[in-house]
Amino acid sequence: MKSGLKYLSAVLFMALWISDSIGQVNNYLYGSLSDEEIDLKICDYDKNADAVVLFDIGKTWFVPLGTGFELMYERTCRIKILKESGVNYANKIIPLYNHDKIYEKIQKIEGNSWNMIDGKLVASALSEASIYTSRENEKWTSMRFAMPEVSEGTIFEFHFIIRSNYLMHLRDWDFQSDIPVNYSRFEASMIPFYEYMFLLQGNYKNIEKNEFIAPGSERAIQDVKFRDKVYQFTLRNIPAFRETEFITSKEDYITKVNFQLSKYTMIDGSSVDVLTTWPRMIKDLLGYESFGRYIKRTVAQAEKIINTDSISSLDETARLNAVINTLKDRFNYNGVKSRYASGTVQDLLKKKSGNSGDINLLGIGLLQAVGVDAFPVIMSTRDHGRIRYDYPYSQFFNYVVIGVRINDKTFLADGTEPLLSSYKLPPRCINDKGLVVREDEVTWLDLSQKDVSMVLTTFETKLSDDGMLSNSTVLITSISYEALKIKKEFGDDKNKILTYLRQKDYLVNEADLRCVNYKSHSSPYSISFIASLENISSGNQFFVSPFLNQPIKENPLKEEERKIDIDFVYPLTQKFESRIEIPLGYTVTYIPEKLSTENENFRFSYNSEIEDSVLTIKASYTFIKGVYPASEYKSIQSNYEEIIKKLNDKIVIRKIG
Amino acid sequence: MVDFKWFPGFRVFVVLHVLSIISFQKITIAQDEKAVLLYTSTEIEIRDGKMISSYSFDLLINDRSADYLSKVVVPYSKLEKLNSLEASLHRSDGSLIRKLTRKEIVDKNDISNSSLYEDQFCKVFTLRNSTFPYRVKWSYITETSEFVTICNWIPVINSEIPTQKAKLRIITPDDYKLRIKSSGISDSSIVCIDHCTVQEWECSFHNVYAEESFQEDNVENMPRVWAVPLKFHYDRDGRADGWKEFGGWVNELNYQLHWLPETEKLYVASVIENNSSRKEQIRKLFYYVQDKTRYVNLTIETGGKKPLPANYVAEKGYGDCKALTIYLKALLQEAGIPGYYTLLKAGIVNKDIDDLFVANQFNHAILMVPLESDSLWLDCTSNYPLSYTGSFIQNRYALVVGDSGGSIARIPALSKQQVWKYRKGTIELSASGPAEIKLQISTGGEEAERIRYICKKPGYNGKIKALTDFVNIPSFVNDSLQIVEFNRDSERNEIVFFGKSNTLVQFYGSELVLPLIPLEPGFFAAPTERTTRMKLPFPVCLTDTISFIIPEGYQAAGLPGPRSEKSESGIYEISFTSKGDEILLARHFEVKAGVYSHDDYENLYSFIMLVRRIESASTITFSKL
Repeated sequence: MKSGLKYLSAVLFMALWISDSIGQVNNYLYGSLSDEEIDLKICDYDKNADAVVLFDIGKTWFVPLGTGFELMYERTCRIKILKESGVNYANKIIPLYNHDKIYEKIQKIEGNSWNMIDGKLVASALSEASIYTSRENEKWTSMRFAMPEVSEGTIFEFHFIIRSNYLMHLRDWDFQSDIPVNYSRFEASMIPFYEYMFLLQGNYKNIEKNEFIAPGSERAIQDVKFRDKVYQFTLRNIPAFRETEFITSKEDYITKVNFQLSKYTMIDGSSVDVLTTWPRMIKDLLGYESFGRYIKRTVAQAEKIINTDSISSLDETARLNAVINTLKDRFNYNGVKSRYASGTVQDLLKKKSGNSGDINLLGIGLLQAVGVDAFPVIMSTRDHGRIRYDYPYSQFFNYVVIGVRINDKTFLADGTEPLLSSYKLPPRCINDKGLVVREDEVTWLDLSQKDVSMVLTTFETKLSDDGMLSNSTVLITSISYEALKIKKEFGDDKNKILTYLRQKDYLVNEADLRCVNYKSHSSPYSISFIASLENISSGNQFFVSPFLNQPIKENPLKEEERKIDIDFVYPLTQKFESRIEIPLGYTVTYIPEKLSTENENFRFSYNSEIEDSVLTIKASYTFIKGVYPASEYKSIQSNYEEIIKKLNDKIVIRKIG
Repeated sequence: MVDFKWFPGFRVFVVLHVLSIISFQKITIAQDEKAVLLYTSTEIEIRDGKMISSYSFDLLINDRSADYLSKVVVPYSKLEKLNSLEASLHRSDGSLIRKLTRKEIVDKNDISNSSLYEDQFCKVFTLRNSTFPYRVKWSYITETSEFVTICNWIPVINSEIPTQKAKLRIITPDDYKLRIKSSGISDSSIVCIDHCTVQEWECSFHNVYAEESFQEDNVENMPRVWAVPLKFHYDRDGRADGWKEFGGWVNELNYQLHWLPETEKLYVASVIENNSSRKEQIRKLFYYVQDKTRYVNLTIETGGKKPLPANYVAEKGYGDCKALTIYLKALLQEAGIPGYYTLLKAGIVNKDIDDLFVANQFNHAILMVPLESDSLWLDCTSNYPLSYTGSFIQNRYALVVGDSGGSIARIPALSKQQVWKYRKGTIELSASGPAEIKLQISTGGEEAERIRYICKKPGYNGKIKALTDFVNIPSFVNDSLQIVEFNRDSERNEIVFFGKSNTLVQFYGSELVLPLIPLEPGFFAAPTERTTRMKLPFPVCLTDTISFIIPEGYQAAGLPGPRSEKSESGIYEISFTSKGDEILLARHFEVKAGVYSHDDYENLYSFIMLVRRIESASTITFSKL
């Protein structure tokens, strides 16, 4: 952030702002415990809680430093351990950004644990010697400490102040946590030189908000006087956030306030708009060295990277495939999500490894060089949270993919995932919408996946003469995201697959296991094996599982209710086809009933036929949507129940005579 | 819970020599594998009390699935300095693609997930190429003057990656005494040059295999050279002539760590005053440590070998296994009760230490307290009862340390009685709805430990889900469960589950069918596919007594006959009896603990297959009256 600021003007925007008065806050002081806190044994609104945050109070403000400002952040948090299982909440890690000239430093840190011993409240202080600094990677360090003397019934509190010149990074305030929070308050003292937007999310309908001019005398920087304006947010009795399955990111759902710098004002009176408009943001991106100019440089150097003449002679679809496959074959994704290139094109060519920006921006340049209408599409990955379309902030985006226009159709591609076909985005990218980065155009593209991913499992089963064993040749064929999921789960490792099969109670030999198309970008991935499975029996009756132990057996939706969407990421079909030869001397006495059901969310069918001692059973189910609203939870849960019951049903054969 | 700083671990070592040219033919052979360690060498020189170790590696990566190996992590610490790290990327013919630049190296703390903090560091870099095959070469030198082990050299990256050629050279002064143990490797050559002794080993590793379940020794069949100095300096001078001397050094390391604050002394005095029995005093103080402290792993100063002092734990209320052990020892000492700091190699399946090879083979610390008739082995990181020896430390050798040095002792094994699991219950079958289930599970041994662990974990929903997994009935949905309050001195846990299952019984035509509740004896590879010995660390013993209530208007079409099978590996018995509207299932299953050779494994496999067949044939059908 540039220094040398001059007072000019101050405007503060706030989303969903209501002026209100905050409640009584005087009890929430570091080092001062109330009788109520000491006596607390259980959290009234969450009786199973292992621990409860008694209060969590944060504050941020600016202090003059030279010709600029430093950002201060203070946090005071008090927690009570209600059960022994909660003691590990007393181990804390505070991440700090420290890279190049940007710093976040701990200015002060202190803490206490309080225990009732022989009827007296005894405090144990957190000593400086037991606070450790760790370098986590090239950008982040952390402060690590364990609160002393913590067991069931302990109240502990910690308080720290961070001093920082990272003015772009005003820390989020999370009102919600893994444990319930009785009282959470955040206070931001703003100065006229920096304008931030406050974005609230989650369940904040009961939030108390207050704003006022800071009392006391004026402050000054370089003879320019100013007053702070204080904004307070308070929330009480916030339940723990526990829903972690089938969600994009916890960060999308917890109740929190996020701050985004929108503008800062310079000493010469000029100002820089950080919050701009979408067209201006797009224009800026196209002018950046690590974005638009990187693409232009790639176009200029394309001949050195690919055979442009040869590829240009192909049709557009083939050109797209050739370039995307080049990216996948020649460059490794280093796992870093970025919308920008991290270095020059030469750096990428040298390292053969880069972030999503390096690889996909290169791909766009190469495509343009061979005459394909290619352009960047920026987005936020699932773990990065959703984009707020009302606020044109580049920070909302953390990833860039390749957009192409062929025959009036738009396709999206990504060069970082070698196991997916050219037209598929990796699952991490399937998150709401992406923004096309082309001059004079603001277009949002839907990133949700309509194409169904599928797994087809076929069984050729012969029963042993005594009916005790099903000997089956099984072929599992998967496409799209399901293929990727299976490939990621097992890698190209037969031993992992064998372990998985043996856990399903199959007797299976390594020599009979085959995997085909693991490395293919586009062909279906298949695993075949020969499995023997014991059939359960009673007297002369044998109960045969037509699909062995392959169908799902446990409902993944276990909670009684759900308050947030069920995000499966993409639509899914599972098909099963079984052909069972009935041995001589046996007759089929039971076949599960046929079934066919369909609605806008779900399709399920089950059919069977028997001909010449061969029983054929086909079943298929489809979850038609990738994401279902929470209101559909019970219905989806019940669909799973139906699937589990039907697909695990058995046929019965009886020995004749 | 395991403190790996006590365990030298596996390291692939290397040498300074210029790499020999590897023939094209060898490369061609190597391409059958996803990666091959073409050459690795280690040269260790002991000079003026310092150990200077030079490592180099030449790794061939043939396939994208082995790309992960191009990320290299080089550990170091304040005690073991790292010098001259160099790396380069090459084509398969050895020609240079490029050298690693300083900017590409990330220098960071090396903190394991189980630790809050460790003052261990590592330098990390990645050298990848987009076309295969390619080679990554790297080398570095470390220097330390504080060491207990010279090397535990296993020149293998992992069991699935072959090593084409590996060399180890150890250079020591003529009068420097070493103890060396080697396996899977030919004899060394020894040369004396300029008052130095140079020992060299050369080997390869081609018998690659995938990890197997219950594998006794995860470096079985790999070449290995383990070298320790008979005299060493680590914090202070020490000797490894015998366990007595090595234990003496550990005892010295722990010297003056047992001072307690006055409040702790007062507490000990109150315990003595209120409890006359010595065992009761031990019990009170052990449980005091359990209640007052929590396990937090901190590795600072002497690389984690020297415990934090007792007063640190007394003040903070936390510590790692060593610190908690010292704290308990100090409390007992204050009470006039001797306790012995004890080191061992912890783990459920791990191969035990070699009691004939005096070396630092340990990763965990506990306290041994002798009683008149017996000894207590107290693991202060656990929440187990006083007299219980957990699955993590049972049935193995341990180094017991006292003022007169160290001695090897045997920690007793978990017995069949201790691990015995009982399941009792009533299952009310229904022709029109789910089966109503009440199941009481009483368990000991490792399962009881897991239940204690789950109960201590935060998060209510996760806890209930994890406990429900113990039920093992198809489609079981838990309505409620009752954890019978832990008796602190009881080794056993008991949980009563109430729930239902939609799929336990199902209609097939007009018949209602009840398959047997699965025993899940385990999943095993056929003996022809097993390459390593198998170790069952403790016995398996299960007894089921379950009553099934027959749905009204139905009758059993006949009950499976009783079966009783015995083999060298175990016992299996099952019977069904009918009484009014009830069918009573009685089942018993045992498998013996121990290391199973290939022949033993065949026997076990046959026994398990027989049990599975009997179980499959033990289905009951019900028809309408």
